[in-house]
Amino acid sequence: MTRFLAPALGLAVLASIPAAAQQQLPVKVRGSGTTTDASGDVVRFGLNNDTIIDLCAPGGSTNGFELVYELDSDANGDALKVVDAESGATVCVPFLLYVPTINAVFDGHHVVVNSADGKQSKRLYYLFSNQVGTSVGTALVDKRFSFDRNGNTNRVSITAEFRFFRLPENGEGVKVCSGRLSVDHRIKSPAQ
Amino acid sequence: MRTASLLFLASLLLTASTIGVHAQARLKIAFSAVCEFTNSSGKISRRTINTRSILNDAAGRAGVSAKTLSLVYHIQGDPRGDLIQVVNNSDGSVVETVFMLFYPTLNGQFDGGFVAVTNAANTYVERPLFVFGHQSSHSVGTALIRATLPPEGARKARYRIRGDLQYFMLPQGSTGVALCRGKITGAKVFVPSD
Repeated sequence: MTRFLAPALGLAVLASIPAAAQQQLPVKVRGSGTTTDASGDVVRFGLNNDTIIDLCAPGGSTNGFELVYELDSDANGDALKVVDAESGATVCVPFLLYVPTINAVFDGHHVVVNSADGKQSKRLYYLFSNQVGTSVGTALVDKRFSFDRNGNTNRVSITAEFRFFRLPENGEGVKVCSGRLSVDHRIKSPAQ
Repeated sequence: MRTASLLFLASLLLTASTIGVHAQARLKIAFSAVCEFTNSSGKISRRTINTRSILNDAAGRAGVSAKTLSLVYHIQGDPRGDLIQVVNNSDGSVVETVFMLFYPTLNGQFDGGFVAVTNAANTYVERPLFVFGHQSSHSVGTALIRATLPPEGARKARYRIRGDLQYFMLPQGSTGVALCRGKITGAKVFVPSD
């Protein structure tokens, strides 16, 4: 159930893609959600980078903030972070993407489908939001890596299909959301 | 699964679902999933799971013909949520429970029954559920279920259910970890032939 979030963060082993470890990669989010309006009707709304950033400061300006996907954010997986566009400093973390729990908390690092050439890696991550300590959804994440002739990672592409819920907040009811995120990031080698 | 069983008593204390009028409805469903795994050559391959393969596997284990079985979505088949089950066509008895789709856990176990988007008439519900299988006591994924339900007191029960599943399977036999993306659709109420 991946339910004991905070106490056991240090128990899991490190993830397996050191070449791109802890890089903050610009991400594009597209999706939609549903909620119930004041009339009792089910209404649909769009989901994009700004709506995710808005989870940090509801109703505030999203100017000056950027949404990034952070690979190997901690020992349990990746993160979707809002950062200051200039300094890169973390403003808030709307979503953590953590490996599954099999027996102990977040011990499912082996739940991964890798290609032997190291160019592709797929995982099912559990999403944790800034609302509650238990999982609020999942994301099927497909990571692809390209390497230069020296074996250094020079391109990271990530696509993911996600779904999550939001508990009632700011006078609004439960929201059920789904969508896709994508990252396409070229990494310049030192020689370039 | 063990945890799920141990929590049965606690789950009885949970708040009733918002679609109580539709309790225990069973719908015949079609299931299809594409699962990806690493093959013996180190490449990522796909295999398909569908209604027929689920029924064939269950029939083999039960020693019966797959033609005598149906795959159903059991709305509120459990106090903790819904069930996807293989049932006997003649008497409706449960042959196997394929997946358990349980409410989110927020504070206690499976206490997120209220986490759903419904209209005022309770004729539409969109619900995120956590998928449980038979390999682990913990969740193996999520399902996003969208159901159109008959109005309360309707003379004819018209349902429509659609679901998108994301789940993983742990290694079994010669197959390694698999990541699956599945769909269910159904509209027909299951009625035993007897």
